[in-house]
Amino acid sequence: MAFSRGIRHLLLGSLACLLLIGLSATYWAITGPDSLLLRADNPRVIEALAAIQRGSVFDRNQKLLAETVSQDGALTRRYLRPSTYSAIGYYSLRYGVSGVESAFDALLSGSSEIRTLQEFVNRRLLNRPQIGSDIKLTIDAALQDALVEALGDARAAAVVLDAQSGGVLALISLPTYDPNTLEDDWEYLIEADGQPFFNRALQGQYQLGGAIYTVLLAHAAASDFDLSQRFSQSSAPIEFQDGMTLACVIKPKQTELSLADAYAYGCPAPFKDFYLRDPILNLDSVLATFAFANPITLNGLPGPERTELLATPSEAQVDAETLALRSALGQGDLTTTPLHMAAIMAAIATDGNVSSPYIQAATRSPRTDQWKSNSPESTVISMLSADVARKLRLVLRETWFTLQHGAVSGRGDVGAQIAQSQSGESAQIWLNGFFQATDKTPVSFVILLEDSEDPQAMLAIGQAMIRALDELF
Amino acid sequence: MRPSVELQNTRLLHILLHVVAGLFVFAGMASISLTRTSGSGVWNAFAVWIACALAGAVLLNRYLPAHDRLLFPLAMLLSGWGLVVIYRLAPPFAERQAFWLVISVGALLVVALAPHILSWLRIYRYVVLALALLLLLATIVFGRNPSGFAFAPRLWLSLGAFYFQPSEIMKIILVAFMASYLGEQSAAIRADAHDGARTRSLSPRLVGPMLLMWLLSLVILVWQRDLGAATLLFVVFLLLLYLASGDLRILLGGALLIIIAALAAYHLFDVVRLRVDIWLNPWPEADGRAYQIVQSLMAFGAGGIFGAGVGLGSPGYIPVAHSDFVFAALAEEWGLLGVICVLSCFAVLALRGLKIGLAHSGRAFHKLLATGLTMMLFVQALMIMAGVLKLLPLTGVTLPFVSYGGSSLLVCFTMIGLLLRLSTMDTPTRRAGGR
Repeated sequence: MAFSRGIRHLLLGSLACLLLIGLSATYWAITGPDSLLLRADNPRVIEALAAIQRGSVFDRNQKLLAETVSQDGALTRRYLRPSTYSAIGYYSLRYGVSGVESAFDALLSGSSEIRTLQEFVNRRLLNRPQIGSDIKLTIDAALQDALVEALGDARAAAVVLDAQSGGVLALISLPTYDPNTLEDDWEYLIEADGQPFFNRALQGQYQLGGAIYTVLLAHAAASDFDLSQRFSQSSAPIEFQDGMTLACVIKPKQTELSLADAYAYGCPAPFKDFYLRDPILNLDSVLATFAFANPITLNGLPGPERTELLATPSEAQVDAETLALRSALGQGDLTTTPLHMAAIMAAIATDGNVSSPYIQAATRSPRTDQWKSNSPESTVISMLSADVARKLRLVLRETWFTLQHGAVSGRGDVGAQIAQSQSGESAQIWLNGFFQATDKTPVSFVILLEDSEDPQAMLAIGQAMIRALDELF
Repeated sequence: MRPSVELQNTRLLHILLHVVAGLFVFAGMASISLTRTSGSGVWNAFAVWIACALAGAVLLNRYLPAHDRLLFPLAMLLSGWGLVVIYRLAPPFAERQAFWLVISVGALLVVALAPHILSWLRIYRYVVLALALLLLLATIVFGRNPSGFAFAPRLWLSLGAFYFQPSEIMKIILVAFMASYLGEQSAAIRADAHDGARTRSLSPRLVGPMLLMWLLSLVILVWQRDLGAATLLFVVFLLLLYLASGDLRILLGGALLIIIAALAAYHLFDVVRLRVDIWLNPWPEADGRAYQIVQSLMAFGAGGIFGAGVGLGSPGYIPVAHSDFVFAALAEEWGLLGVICVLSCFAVLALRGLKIGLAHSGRAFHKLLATGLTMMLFVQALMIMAGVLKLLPLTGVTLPFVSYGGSSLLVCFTMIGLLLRLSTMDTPTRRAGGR
């Protein structure tokens, strides 16, 4: 019949074209979300992010640290405790996330796995804006406040750990920035002197200097060396070929010191003698006990990062023997972070073992009141025997007593050393120790001041922190 | 006399289809009103739509009881869906679209209920064509663009505050003219095409009109920069010529002419070059010249399978989404499911339209007219849907019934009116089946 065949051809052709369009639409609808929605120039991504009702962040006593509020019709992230800025980091549509905001981004933004039917309906079918979970940190805001106040304008890092569980009670890096005004300050901040985005407590790798005496002392205690045995010329400085000089942190009254005394005054000479008189001392194996090769980090937060702070001599400048000695005295190429040092102190404060540090204490799902405790995957690192840890605690208590010229401050059991290290032109000063209130679990702490050689300033900061710990525990 | 059971069933089907369409449009409007703090206008638009649907259904049932039962509900469903999308994207345009809907349904009823309309189109084809060409000429001379942009194509004629596009009216007139001409010539054309002695060469009866139409399309393209209308008219003409001749070489030759014209246009006209370039590779200029097509593809991605939800997506990022890119906007909020619904609607429209053509055995004009009108609607829908999906270069045509555009809506409903009229003709099939 005229035309009929042609019309049928047209019909088939039409349906084929529709099928092609359907297949194309299916391609973009199903494959598209992976390739298109992640493009930086997709405004929908920004819009979706802006619509996220991000969860709040609390400290361990449920003090509010960060929240999302509606302001002029838009959701804004608000940070409430300046002392916690460096730990919490920032959340910005333009500049991304950092710190705790980054580590727990999936939880806070609610983009973690869909677990309930209601979540599936809300997010996949109704496309409702994501609502994030609240998180409770192990951090203590009051302790942060006290530490930040004591540190003032210094370039510093501070870490306080619950020595038993590994929970981070304080995490400070200074100078820092105000995340509330990040968008306005960004250009200034990325160029700013002092690198405010650099988390010194977690990322800063510092030479140990006198902090390594703890390691040597641990080796001495483990090898049954008599810690009260005195060395001559103990307070004499050590001068290296390249001009570096190591001296006591606090000048002792006597010239003959034991290792324990030298530890208290931060004198390098007895440790040098101890190192040199024991030719079989394998420094690498001693250091390996303290896991320096695998720095301890906080899950999700940035780890150690080499910085310009370091300046170690090359073999061209000094001979191999001197290099080895410098390494033994903490001025070689070994570096560590304040967090790692705090973990070592935690091992001493307990029975020689340390749990992996963690910072998230609990989570609260959206629209619920119930906090769900976080059970971190705790890895226990054995650093010392219980006996060595006990001996070191004793030395640390005496050291703190010496540093305070015999005065006793607070009710808690405190042990701490002050150590100096040098990184090229700049010097750092460490305060490493532990604190234990009666019937409470011990805490370990590390405070590091950059560009400082003043032990008295560090002592004052340490005393302020001990007072705060006394009040809080 | 009581109506037959078959007629009662088809009436029930008719009512059911309108109820489904009404519920769908109501759900869309309700969703929009829930996502807006103010906007009684959405219910005004819905009231207009309901009034049009009711008036159309009642009048068609009463005065044209044997009409095709699917076409009008389909057109109303698509136009209602369009109203929802337009209201969601640009509320002031939805009010104008609602106004045009009243006029369009009125035109449909006039055309569908006018008993001699098909005879007039056939008999006075040259007069109508001359009027249409005059309109086209007037557009070339007096054409304006409602946007007021200096370099925008001037495809509209203004009548006070109202604008209409003569190229839209040309669609009906040219289809009617071609159906009439080819219907008369079809016997001779077929004889030529299948004449054993002349199979190697094409008859002037075939080549002549094809070249004339090609030239007319080129005029539209050159003078008005209206790539969409030019392509659409030429493609539909080719399909009708193929139908009239049954000669596949027509389609091949036509495709060759389209390629030649496209190559020339690419080198001669910036607007064509731009569209082809961004079609081939839009990604390097995703923030610039290709922004619209890239946002369109992102809308499909954002919609996914179930869509973002009515009023909850971000189709506003697609420039002029309520017009050329309404399909992408719809995909973002109704998802792939919505896209499949739209495709199904156009598939049914094509099926019903071509079925009407098939039913007219022995009436070449009616057969070609039904097929031509159906193809005009269908090819236009294909061109824009393929365009927003980057299957074809963008041509700037509207999605029939759904996109914003008064002239387009008016012409689409008028075409449906003609198809409804054609569906009630006393065809041999009907006579054989008895009524």
